[in-house]
Amino acid sequence: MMDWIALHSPSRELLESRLYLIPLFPLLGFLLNGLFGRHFSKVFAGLVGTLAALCAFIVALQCVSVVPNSSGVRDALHASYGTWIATPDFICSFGLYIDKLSSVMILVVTGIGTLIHLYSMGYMAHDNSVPRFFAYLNLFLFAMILLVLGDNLLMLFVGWEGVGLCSYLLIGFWYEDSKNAAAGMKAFVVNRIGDLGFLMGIFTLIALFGTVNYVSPVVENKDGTRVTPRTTSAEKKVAMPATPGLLDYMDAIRLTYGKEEKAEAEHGEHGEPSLKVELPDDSVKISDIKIDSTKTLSGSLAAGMKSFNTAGFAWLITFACLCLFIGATGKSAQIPLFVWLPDAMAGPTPVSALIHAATMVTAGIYMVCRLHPLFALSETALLVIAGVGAATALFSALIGLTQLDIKKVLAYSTVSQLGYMFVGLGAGAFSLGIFHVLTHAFFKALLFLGAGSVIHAMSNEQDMRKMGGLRTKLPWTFATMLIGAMALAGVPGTSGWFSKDNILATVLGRYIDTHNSLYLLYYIMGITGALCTAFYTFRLIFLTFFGENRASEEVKSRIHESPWTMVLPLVVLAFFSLTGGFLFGHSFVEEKDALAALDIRNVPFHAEHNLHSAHVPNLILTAMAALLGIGYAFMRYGSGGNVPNPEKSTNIFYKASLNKFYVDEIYDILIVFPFSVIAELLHWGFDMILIDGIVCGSAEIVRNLSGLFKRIQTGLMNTYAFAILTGAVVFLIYLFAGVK
Amino acid sequence: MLLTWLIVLPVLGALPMCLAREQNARELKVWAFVVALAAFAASLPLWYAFSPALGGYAFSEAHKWVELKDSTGKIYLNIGFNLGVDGISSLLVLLTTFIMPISILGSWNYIQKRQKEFYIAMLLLETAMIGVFCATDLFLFYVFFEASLIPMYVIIGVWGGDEKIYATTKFVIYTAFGSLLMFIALLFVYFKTGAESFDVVHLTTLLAKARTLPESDPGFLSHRAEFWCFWAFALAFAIKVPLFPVHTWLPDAHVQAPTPGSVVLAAVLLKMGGYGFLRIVFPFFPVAVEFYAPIFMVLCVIGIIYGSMMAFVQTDIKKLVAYSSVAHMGTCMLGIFSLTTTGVQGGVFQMLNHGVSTGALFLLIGMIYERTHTRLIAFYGGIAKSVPVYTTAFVIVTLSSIGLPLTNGFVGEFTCLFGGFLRSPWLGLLASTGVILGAVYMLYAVKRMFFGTIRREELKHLTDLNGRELAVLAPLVFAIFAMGVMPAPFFDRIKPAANMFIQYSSAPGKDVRAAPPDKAATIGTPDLQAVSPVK
Amino acid sequence: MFELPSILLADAGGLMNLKACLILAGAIFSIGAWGVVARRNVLIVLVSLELMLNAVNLVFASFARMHANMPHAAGNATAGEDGQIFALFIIAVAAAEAAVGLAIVITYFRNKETVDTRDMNELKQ
Repeated sequence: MMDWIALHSPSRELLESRLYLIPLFPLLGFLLNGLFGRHFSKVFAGLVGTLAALCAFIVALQCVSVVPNSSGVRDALHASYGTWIATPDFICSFGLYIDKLSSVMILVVTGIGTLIHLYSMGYMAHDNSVPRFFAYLNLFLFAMILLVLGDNLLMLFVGWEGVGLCSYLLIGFWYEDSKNAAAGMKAFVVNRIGDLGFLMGIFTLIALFGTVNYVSPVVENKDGTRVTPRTTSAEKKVAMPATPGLLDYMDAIRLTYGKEEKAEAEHGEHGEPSLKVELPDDSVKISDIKIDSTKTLSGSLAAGMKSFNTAGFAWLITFACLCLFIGATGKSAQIPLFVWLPDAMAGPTPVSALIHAATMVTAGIYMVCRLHPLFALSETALLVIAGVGAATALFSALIGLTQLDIKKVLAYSTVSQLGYMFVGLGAGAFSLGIFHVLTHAFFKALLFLGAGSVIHAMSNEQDMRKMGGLRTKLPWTFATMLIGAMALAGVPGTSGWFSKDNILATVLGRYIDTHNSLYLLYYIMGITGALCTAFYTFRLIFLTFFGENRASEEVKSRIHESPWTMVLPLVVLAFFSLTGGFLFGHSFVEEKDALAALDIRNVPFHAEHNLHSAHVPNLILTAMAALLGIGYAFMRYGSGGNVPNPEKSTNIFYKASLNKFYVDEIYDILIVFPFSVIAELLHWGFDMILIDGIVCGSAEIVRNLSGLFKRIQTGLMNTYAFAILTGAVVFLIYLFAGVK
Repeated sequence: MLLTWLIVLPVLGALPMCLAREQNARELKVWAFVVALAAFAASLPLWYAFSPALGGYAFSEAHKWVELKDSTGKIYLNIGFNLGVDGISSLLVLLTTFIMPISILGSWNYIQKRQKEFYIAMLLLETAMIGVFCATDLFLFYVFFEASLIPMYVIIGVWGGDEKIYATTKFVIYTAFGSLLMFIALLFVYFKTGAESFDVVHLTTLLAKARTLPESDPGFLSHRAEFWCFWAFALAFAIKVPLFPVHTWLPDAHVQAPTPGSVVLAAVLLKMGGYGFLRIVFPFFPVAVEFYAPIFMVLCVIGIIYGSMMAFVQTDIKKLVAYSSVAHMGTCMLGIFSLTTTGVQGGVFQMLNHGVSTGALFLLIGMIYERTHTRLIAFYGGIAKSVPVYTTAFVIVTLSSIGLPLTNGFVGEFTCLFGGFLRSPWLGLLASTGVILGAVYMLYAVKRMFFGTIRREELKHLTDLNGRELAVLAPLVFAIFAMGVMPAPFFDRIKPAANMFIQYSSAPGKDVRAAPPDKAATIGTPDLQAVSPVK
Repeated sequence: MFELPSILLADAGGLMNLKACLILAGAIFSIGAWGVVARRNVLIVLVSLELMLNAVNLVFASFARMHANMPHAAGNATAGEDGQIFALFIIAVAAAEAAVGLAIVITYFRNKETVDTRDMNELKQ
């Protein structure tokens, strides 16, 4: 897809040997700023951080340019750097891996990362701990790169937790306000809840397949030439490498259980046969699954999962998928674990843009896509994913309708957009999910950075009621944010529209194809959400940039357009927000591209034309939703005089939405409060009273008994002598009585 | 003779100290530190010259010690001074010798009275601890196991906090109670099997034989007898670990102990429990282990959740860390009781982790205590501003403690939990909630101590870490990352020993793993075979 | 109350009457025991202790003599030596005990200015 950036073509081997540079640069940046930062000036610290990101981006560009665009999914750059954990059950090594999927992600991460580093140099110019900030940002980049480039699930998990850590550190960056620290902690803990699911998923996969690698590790022939074992689906043969990875197993299962189906193609060129995989029902155990003629699946198992072997294979796959998805709900802020993301806005705005909009929160989507052949095996899991995504998309859009803090609006819209991505994944359109990740990264980073520019100009005011009329004072910010808002609202032609529209079309197509009314429900939720999105996005624009300025005079006097370091990233992002759909869309939609080919083959439609017939009605509906939403926002707020006033409102729904439907409070009552009470009770009741009671009680009994005997000890020598004598006499009597 | 020297070196070092005078405290400290460093240097061959591939014991040596003969000249009690290390014990010896100089350096200013006696006690403690891990004679093991109690008793009882007498008495009575049962069972095993020596391997073989004898034979080891012996040993070690519900001595002992006492207690003494399970209980009583492993796994899981909840409500940071030890050791024992190689590997690795991370936490707490003389979390708040380096160190250690990847904690926790998961997915799931709870209580404490605004005037002028304190922490922080990034050498060492210890119990899945396909070996040979799919 | 074993009552070899010796020893022992139990002065208690020890010595010596004169001991030069050796040991121990005991008493008297056993009850606490 990235043909246009193929600058020159160094050899693949060379680039593979350079892969480690991508994470190395940010790591170096982190170490430099972290260890010696206190001796750096602000600008130098910023330069170090930004250059580290830029170097990573350049190397990534080079590497990505040679990732082949073939449909052989495993055809990728792959380098391994030694063993990390080796147990008899699994072996995990440090490996980097770039295929089409990770190339999209790595470019988003390093590219937008670089822009945001640049932006931060302007935004954080007045802060006192700039080196610390850039150290954290670089550390984040490092972790995120490991996440997307790791060649196995554990490496992904390393990055996963690493970005969580950086998120924690950056949300609480201004730690002197303990509210920020609390938000950081909340983010970390809620993410950890998801991680528990992720861990369970990894455990199950290791137990099932005995590996954490995606694909077979890089191996070398005896003559030193390199072999990247891959399955060749073209010949309909399973070629299992000696040490298969998860995706190798998936291919084998797919080819073993797949029924070849010629999809009823509308056009002749779409007639490539696809495989409809139907796993046998739950009566089939792991040991029955044969992946090739020589070994059963359980034969390749390292783990003796006797307890698991009683469960059906299909059930276990679903279990693993759902566990992994729980992890995704944590990191990607889906119901029920989305509560941390709005609080995460306590961090500096560039952080919100980079971590909590463009990159980290999409890790869940990346993970699902990375393992998409696995998810494709479980229809239940896909339905759950789509359902959770649709519910989140609608729910957080509803909350976004009434928020007053400019960053909170964007935060809820991020949650909502992530929901759309999951809807796409759940509908089997994995590539479209990634497509939306890409476009969303552009326009949401843009919107956050724009919001940051506004906040910067307004002397750190975030309440939209105190803004207004900024379009003349911040022309660049206004123009770019308007483009971002159009993309977010899904105005046809913008990048956001391309991806969202395609996702919704797939959902509708899925409904037509399977007649599963759940998909229709998801679709309706999606469209409603899109309507809300358009409304609250332009509510934000109108409240911020139109009408009269409502700030205090002092603030007003200091309003200024941001420096070029902040404006340049805005412009670049605005360009891509506007044109991203045209530039990159074909990679995700047209089937000849490796990325787009993934989902069609894995979750095929019964009839191809069902998908196509969904496009036109969907196009009309999404366009109408966008325009209606924008129009209504204009009616309400376009004039600028109609500032929301929550105190006056008596509408119950309005109140509920404003208070985020009391989700935090409900969690407090249901989870946090009982936990503290039970812990406190156990501490006093169980630890101090029961166990220590038993221990100290037995000591007490001994003491009391000794108190009884103590009385005999008069302390008088004569008494003791008498006792001895008596004892001796009694003993003698006993002795002699015995003799007689 | 390496191991003998290693054992006697600290005692020899302590001898001249007995003659020194209290006034020369500074020289005494330096001397004790040098002795501990020398012991560490002397233990390095256990890392370099140890080849895990060989299996069995390395550096073995056997000396006659006690031989009691009856009137006919037959030996009826043969206690040998037999030493040797395998992959697991060599690592634990290294942990001991690694931690000792650090904790001596960490106690530099903390101990103000009776310094001479303190450092003598520390060195004696080191001897006893190394002895425990090196002994291959059951009786010798017992002697060292008990001997380690005495210096610790003194350390807590003399240099402890306000309630030191209560804490130290509780500690000693708890552990002595367990040891007593162990002693009875030890003699029972010896005389029942008619053993010729207390050599652990010898006893293991005899016990295995005794199990197969006909029931009428006097040497027959019935299930009932085995189970009683199992409980006697298991209780002793469970108290030491400590497993829920015999853990309540630990928080008191930790809170009252002086910093170096807490460090050694957490880092090494607790490990004797887990080590005892592996070294003695597993080979001796495999049937009982197999039978009771689920119960112990449940106890571990309760310990994890319960310990975390307790840690959450503590107001004293040291007590919080003490309860977190209960949770961490629960994780560690869960791996060991999963009776899978992965689990045991993880369990042993987690022991080392816990030694490093919790040791570092106690040192850090001691450092701030020296400055403010309080450990109440509520007293602090916002001190990240005044002591940034200290905060950084504390956060790094915290992250290791809550198992963040690329720190040591993750590797151990992951493998332990995976081992537990293999044996029982649901217990594994419950145990993994410790991952969440750990983050909750540690980060909550970090937030309350370091973040927010400084409210107290005196906290604004805290001095940050000095050179000595940095030198104390640096090796620990280095170990945290080194073990997190390169755990493979550790796992390689642990693996043969772990396999040996669990081979006795017929854990589920053992059949599958009877001849484990060594994946590392096959990586080099690509084997692409094309097979037609089943239609 | 009970009868002594018959061997004690028999005439041992027609020499000295063993019975008489034992009765004397018993009397001395009883006096000593009474002194230890009943008297309050530590010095008297020590003297009484010596009395008890000497009573035991007497018993040892008597029996030693008896053993040497037994018919089956004829020709055995060492018969009855055990008792005499024991008696010598006891004399030595008694001397040591008296020396140490008196030293303690003197030191105690210097500190507390009393030798009354009723005052010597500090160990009670």
